[in-house]
Parts: sequence; C-alpha cells; structure tokens
Amino acid sequence: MFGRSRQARQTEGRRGAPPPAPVPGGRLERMFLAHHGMVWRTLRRRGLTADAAADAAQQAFLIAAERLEDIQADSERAFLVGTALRVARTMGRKTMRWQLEEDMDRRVLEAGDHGDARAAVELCDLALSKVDADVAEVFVLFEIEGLSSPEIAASLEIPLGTVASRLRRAREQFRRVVARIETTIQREGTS
Amino acid sequence: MNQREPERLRILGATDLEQRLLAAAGAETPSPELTRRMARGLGLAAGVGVATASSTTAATPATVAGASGLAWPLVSAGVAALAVASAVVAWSGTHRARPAAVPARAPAAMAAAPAPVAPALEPAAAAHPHRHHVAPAAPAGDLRAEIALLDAARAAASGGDDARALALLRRYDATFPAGTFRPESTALQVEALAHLGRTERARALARSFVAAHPDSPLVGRVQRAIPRDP
Repeated sequence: MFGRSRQARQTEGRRGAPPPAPVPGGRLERMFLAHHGMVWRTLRRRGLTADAAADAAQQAFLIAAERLEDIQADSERAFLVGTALRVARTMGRKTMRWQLEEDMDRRVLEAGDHGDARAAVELCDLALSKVDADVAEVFVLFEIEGLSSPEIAASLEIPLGTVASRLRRAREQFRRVVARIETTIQREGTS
Repeated sequence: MNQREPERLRILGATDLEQRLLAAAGAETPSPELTRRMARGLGLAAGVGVATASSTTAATPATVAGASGLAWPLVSAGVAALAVASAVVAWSGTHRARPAAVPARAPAAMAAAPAPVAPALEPAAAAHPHRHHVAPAAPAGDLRAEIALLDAARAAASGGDDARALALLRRYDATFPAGTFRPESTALQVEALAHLGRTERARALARSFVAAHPDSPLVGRVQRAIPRDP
C-alpha cells in the first residue's frame, strides 16, 4: 500500500544533507504538527532512544514529503507511523535499548514511587521489550496510541485479521509481564 | 463486511498498574529541543516549538467542534483532542503559571504564524536540557482514558446497548469525578436512561443537568432526549 522502498533508500541516503526547502502549501508542516509526537512516541516504545526516535521520525516525514501527492488526507497518520517503523527497522539494533532482565527490580522500585512518570514509561518499555516485536507494534498502536484496527492494518500493511490476532497475542504477553512486575512490586513492598 | 473493533485494554479489564504504564507511555512527548531539531531537519520554520506545534494541532476542525461539546461523533477521531492534551501537558510542564493560555491560543495559532509563541518557549527549553522528558502523566493520560471511555459508551449506545453504555458512563463518572467530559457523560446518560424506559430517572437527571449547565450547548439535546411531561 505504501510501497516506498526506493524513495526510502534515497531519503535515507541523504542523511546529513542540507534540509530540504520548505514544502509549498504547508501540508508537511501540518502533518508534522499533528503527528510528530505520536510517531516519535511509537518509535520510543519500539526501543529507540529519544534521539534515535527523533532521527527515524524525521526520516519518515522526509519520505512523506516526497510522496505527499500519494498520501490521502485520511491516511497521513497511518503512512507516517508505518514508514517510521520501517525506517527504525533499517536502523538496526544499535538504536535499541532493551533493558536487561536484571534491571527489572531496580525499575520496579523506582516506578513504585508514585508519580514517577519516567520510571513508569521505562517499566512499560521494559514490559514491551518482552513482547514479540511484530505483535508489540500492533499493541503499541492500538493500546497506547489509539489507532483503529483498519488504520493499523493499513499502516503495517497486514490484513485486519492479523491485526486482531497479533493484538490478542501481544495482550497476553504484555499482561503476563506486567503481572510479574506487579508481583515484584508487592514483594518489594512487603519485604 | 465490518469486523468488530476490539475494546481497548485500558477501557475494560486493565489492572491499575497496566493503566498506569500505558497512560505514562502515551503521555511521553519529545522535548522542545528534539521537536525543533526534527522541524529544522524538515525545512520547517525554525520557530516551530513543541507547544506551538501541538497547540496549532488543537485548531483542527475536529477539535474545535469537539470543544463545543456537540461533536460526539468526532470524538472517536479524537486524535486531535489528544494532541491538545499533550500540548497542554507539555506546555504546562514548562509554563506552570499560565496553563490556561494554551487552549485559548489555539485558534489564533491556526490563523497566524506560530512565531509569536515560539520565542517565549526558548528560555524554557534552554532551562530543560534533558533530551526528552515525560510530561506529567495524569492529565494527558486521563484525558485519553476519558475520551476512550466515552467513546466506548457512545459506541455501545449507538449499537443499541444502552445498559452497557450506562454502565460505562457510570464508570466514567466514578473514575473521573472532575472529568473534562462530565457534561457529555451526563447528557449521554440521560439519553441511555430514556432509551431504557427509565423516564423518571432520565427526567430528573436532565433537570439537574439543565440547572447545573444552563448555558451548555448540550441542553437542547438533553431536553430532546426525554419524553415530554404529560
């Protein structure tokens, strides 16, 4: 649906080049304003550092800039996030920051301090890192970012039924990990 | 053929910890510095800052309509509203003294260039050297959860399951006693009660709604929902 590999490679190949000229009509700017946070956040949930997520998000918007006429107004978000996830995959594991299992206790303790949003985010990412990558993407888009199933299907270029089955698997895995985390919290709280 | 959209985990059945983790993750925003870096890389105006960026989003038609309280069908397209929430949270994180200014500014931000707002953000951004930050999770997360819960109730109502809609709305009221969409919740409850034939309760709720919100744009809707007094 969003076949873009050639353009993607071209765009990726010019990282570090001078920024492109502003896009006439401001559609890219509008798309950026509306969706950059969500795109960046989705990449963070897939394990990218804040900087790497910004780089990958920027790449996705650059690709979008080249394909504006191909992107329907109601599929901008799906295009952007799907493209961003593909860009992230090409960036390789050096950008990943999956936490080691032994980090869990420390993070659980930090997250146990109420109001520590940073620790809660890290704990969420830790849980997501234990979920199979392909199903985790569906989970993040559906449960955290609030995309609809058809939007996710378009974004990831998978059938609607696959979205549903991946969501089920992801939930099972995520909830199992969070239950473990909860047990750890309770253990720490009572010791 | 329509495949039924699954419920969101956060609406039905999530544990407190699950809710908390998902809400915190959904409230994370890129720092102003990172946002500007992305914008510059795209050749967009260098003055595009985080708050400016997101608050401009607030001016999309869906959100403006949503703010009127009459746009329930649009809430499911509530992405824009969520962006507003993020903007408010991100912005209030650095401008705690004047949080109300963001929504007030939003419509103007659409019409005018963002430049007037952006310079004011520079010192705040400089004062927050972190590469990224987590906005206080509760407000944006709550707003997101509020919208999702009301969306679920509205979906139940439009699917004819008024009892379920009512249960979800009561859950909304219990979960968000000072919720942003309490008036909408009440209006939906009046409609659900009326559909269920619980006319007296619907009428009483409608009366108290009109008394509490005489100027609400929802008044007409609430009054239309109940059978006329004999």
